[in-house]
Amino acid sequence: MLQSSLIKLNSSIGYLHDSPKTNCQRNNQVYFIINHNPLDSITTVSKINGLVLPLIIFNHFETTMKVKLGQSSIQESYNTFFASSLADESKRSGCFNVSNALSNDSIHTLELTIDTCSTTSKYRKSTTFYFLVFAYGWNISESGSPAETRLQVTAKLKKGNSLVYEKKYVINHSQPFVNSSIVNTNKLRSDFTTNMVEGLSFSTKECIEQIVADLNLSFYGSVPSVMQENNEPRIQNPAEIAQDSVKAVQPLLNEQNTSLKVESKKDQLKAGDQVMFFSFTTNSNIKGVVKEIKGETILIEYVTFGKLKTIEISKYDVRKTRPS
Amino acid sequence: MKNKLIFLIIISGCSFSCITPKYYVLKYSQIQSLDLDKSLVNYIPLEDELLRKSVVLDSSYSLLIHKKYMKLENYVKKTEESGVYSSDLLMAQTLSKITQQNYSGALISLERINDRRFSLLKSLLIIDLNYENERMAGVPDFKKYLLKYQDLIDTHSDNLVLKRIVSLRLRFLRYNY
Repeated sequence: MLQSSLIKLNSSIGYLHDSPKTNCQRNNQVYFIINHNPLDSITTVSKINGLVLPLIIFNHFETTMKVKLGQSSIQESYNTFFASSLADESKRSGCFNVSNALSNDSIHTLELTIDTCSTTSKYRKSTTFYFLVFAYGWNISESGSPAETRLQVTAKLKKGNSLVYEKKYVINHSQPFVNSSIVNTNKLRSDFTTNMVEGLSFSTKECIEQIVADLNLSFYGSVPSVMQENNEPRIQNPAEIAQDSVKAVQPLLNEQNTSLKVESKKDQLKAGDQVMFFSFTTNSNIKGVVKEIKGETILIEYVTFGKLKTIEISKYDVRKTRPS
Repeated sequence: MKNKLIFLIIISGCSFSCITPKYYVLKYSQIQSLDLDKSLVNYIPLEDELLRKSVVLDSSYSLLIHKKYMKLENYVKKTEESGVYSSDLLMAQTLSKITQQNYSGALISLERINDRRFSLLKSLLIIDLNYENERMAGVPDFKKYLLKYQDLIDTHSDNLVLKRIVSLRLRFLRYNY
């Protein structure tokens, strides 16, 4: 019954792009290939557990159901949405051009495979019936839970037949259920569907922003907002840096959002030096600039996903890079 | 008869106070300190500087934050009757109509404002009010308004408060509130 009701409801998928627009040099062409989407065709409902309390003057029934989002609850095709969002984000914050056709070997190919795309949520229905000799009453209530999205995408960047990099993006997102004062069951179910679609929208946004940031990183070894200042890349090509031996040595626990481990200690550092460390979150090298030296630790400014961040780490745990 | 009258007054008073506005006017400085991620309210941002320089707007703002909507309506009417006619008054009129959920009336007042000080606020409110008017007639097109808000935040990309406010607006759009 819940399934037949949810199948009739759908919501529009979309989000606001809040990454900064860049006007960096776009010397590279990327052709996107997006492989199949494992999103279910229809939204499905399965029972998780139930509770029955059949007492003399009081009866209580409760059922918790697991709802898995399917394409039927999304107004637009998810595949099309993913592709268009990727193209839009590339145009905004990407330092490369999106190619419509694979014409020659100079074009990079980004092969994306959506391995997992699952959005689930719990829906609870409860009915209470109570009666005395001449009086009786009942209460029926329904409620939703936060939508949990797991999106896993494998990206392979190739130039010609050679693989430049391969990476798995795993996004786990929890979208809080909006507690509205509206008690109408139809509105509640509609909001429940919208909540799941909203969760998928934000997960896709997060994933796409990471993909574009990594593409920038692989082409220039930096992210666009750094380039925006003088319209040209400031840090050398990572291919040159990759020739040096790199050993990850130590996780940094004092960073809230970005778990980092850094690379071999080397030169004496000073403010303004360009350095590099490794991020577990983006699973890639991150370039930054030394802002301040504080004894054994240094303050590094770096840009991730279009945002300027600062991290304080041991000066022995970063690798100096050559200035461009 | 007297009892019936008192009863009617109580009922009408209750019904009026039950109209909760969808949009709350707040100063930029106050919005910046709010945790908007947990908020389910649409905010109309007013620049602190604007309020400092305009008596009409400052008085209207005080009435709005104290939820004296009837007093605001009377204040706007009296100011208009006294011959004071300015963009500030038109903005106060717009805000007053928004709190009364008279969105088409608010749009008419808003479109008469030609003051550059209000250009950003005007752009934001035009999208909001068109959405509200369309919503009264049916379900508005989510994509259409998403693009309009996207254009607005891209035009004012440095304005982080606007970005946060528009994210909230989008939540309302998505859920069709």
